[in-house]
Amino acid sequence: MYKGLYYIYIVAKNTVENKNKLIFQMINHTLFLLFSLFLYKNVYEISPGLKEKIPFVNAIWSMSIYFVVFWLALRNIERSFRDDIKTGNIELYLLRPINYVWQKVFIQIGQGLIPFFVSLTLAVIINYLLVGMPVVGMSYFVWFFALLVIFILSQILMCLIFILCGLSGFWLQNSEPTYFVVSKFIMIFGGAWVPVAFFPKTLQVIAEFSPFGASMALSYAMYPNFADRFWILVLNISFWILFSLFFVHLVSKRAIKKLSVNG
Amino acid sequence: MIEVKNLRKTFNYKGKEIVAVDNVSFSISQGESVAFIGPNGAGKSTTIKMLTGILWPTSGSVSILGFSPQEDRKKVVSQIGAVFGQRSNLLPNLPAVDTLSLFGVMYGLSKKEIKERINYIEDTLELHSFKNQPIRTLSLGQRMKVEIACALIHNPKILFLDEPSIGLDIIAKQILRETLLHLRTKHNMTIFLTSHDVGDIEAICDRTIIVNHGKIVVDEPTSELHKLIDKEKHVEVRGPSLEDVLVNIYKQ
Repeated sequence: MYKGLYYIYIVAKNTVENKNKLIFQMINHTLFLLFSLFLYKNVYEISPGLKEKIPFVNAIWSMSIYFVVFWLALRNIERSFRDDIKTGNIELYLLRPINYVWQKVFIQIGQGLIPFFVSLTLAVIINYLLVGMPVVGMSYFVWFFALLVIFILSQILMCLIFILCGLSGFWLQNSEPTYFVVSKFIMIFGGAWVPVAFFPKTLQVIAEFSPFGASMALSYAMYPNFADRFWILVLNISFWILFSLFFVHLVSKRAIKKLSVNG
Repeated sequence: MIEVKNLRKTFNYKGKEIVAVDNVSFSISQGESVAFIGPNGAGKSTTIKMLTGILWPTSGSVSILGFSPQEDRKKVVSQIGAVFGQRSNLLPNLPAVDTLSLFGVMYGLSKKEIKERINYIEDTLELHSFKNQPIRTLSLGQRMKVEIACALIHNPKILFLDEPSIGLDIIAKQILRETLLHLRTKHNMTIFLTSHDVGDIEAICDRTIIVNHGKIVVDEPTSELHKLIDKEKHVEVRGPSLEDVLVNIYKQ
């Protein structure tokens, strides 16, 4: 545990040293939040019926949270695997006394942690000032802890999904096509383009109960019926975590055995 | 200390079997400094990767301090250090001390032990003048010193080096050689080196294993190697080499 936390701390420290990049990323993030707010305001004015599916405030929070999670960038675990296999840098990680997959997770969390917290702070301030707090059907104190549970579980699932994508590269030589399909499903079912609440009912259920939607369940947690759906979301994500863990365990040892690094 | 028996590694490429290492056997005892050399594609790097547990052999066995590097990976990596000349372990925006601390934590050292080891390595490798500078601002020679420092943080018994001097200028090469020589003579460290640089081998290694097409073709003390082709008497004229001259000029 301490090893992992220290690993994350050092990588985060290394990342934050590049302050200009972080500032540029956060300006980009702020502009994007303001743009989507403006866009949604107009969409809601043109189609007042949308309010019945999801209130404007909740739609804005849902979109913002999707983009905040985007900065944590756990999907980059797959790219990191891909680069290590291509360049042969994997050998450096295999020489360390910590499991390769764990190291990749620590590195990605370390790289994404500071942008994640800064973007979260910006999103909360902008949303609170411009649209107010979402309708959540429970006290905000309880909501916060419920969100935290969903966040942690969904990010564990996200890690596992992209670890599996990355591990596929040991057989396919290039895991990019797998990554492309999976990341697009996560974007669609996670509500990156339009909130899932706008989907037809059947597609909503498929999105929510698929591993792709479950890994972005935080955006669902911004919906007004979150209080009623909390335990279903937790069970659904937990199921997919166990399912993915089984496959990661099965595949990872075989992947390392399959490894061939050019001399 | 290192026991290699009938080691073989093959790769499959488009249904064709390529033999990278073919029935290689040797043993290395503690404190020995061995050069493992050969032309490109001879199987040097593949062998060093099997010795360090990165690659799994197709057949044969490797024993490092009595353990299999593949089956007992954690036990082996805690006893060995490795430096790969073409790859870097360092975090570019942070000073050496941070990377060294990270490696100390990874190897399970306590805070006190990490501090002691860093102080010791700083003295041994003379890192004082640049230890607090971000890695990206260091010269290649200084970076290589920090790479070696990372490999030494957990006080390993064996140091594996795969072409450590690749891309280094003459000064940096000399620093590297002095460092390795110091580790060998003062600390009785076992060194396993692959290199294309004859200077590295002459300076550091007392035994040389030459491989070609995956097989060992020569295994002799380095000082005896010239006898393999000396069929006639020769006159040796001693004087500064061109490398010595350049080092002198650069240092001025």
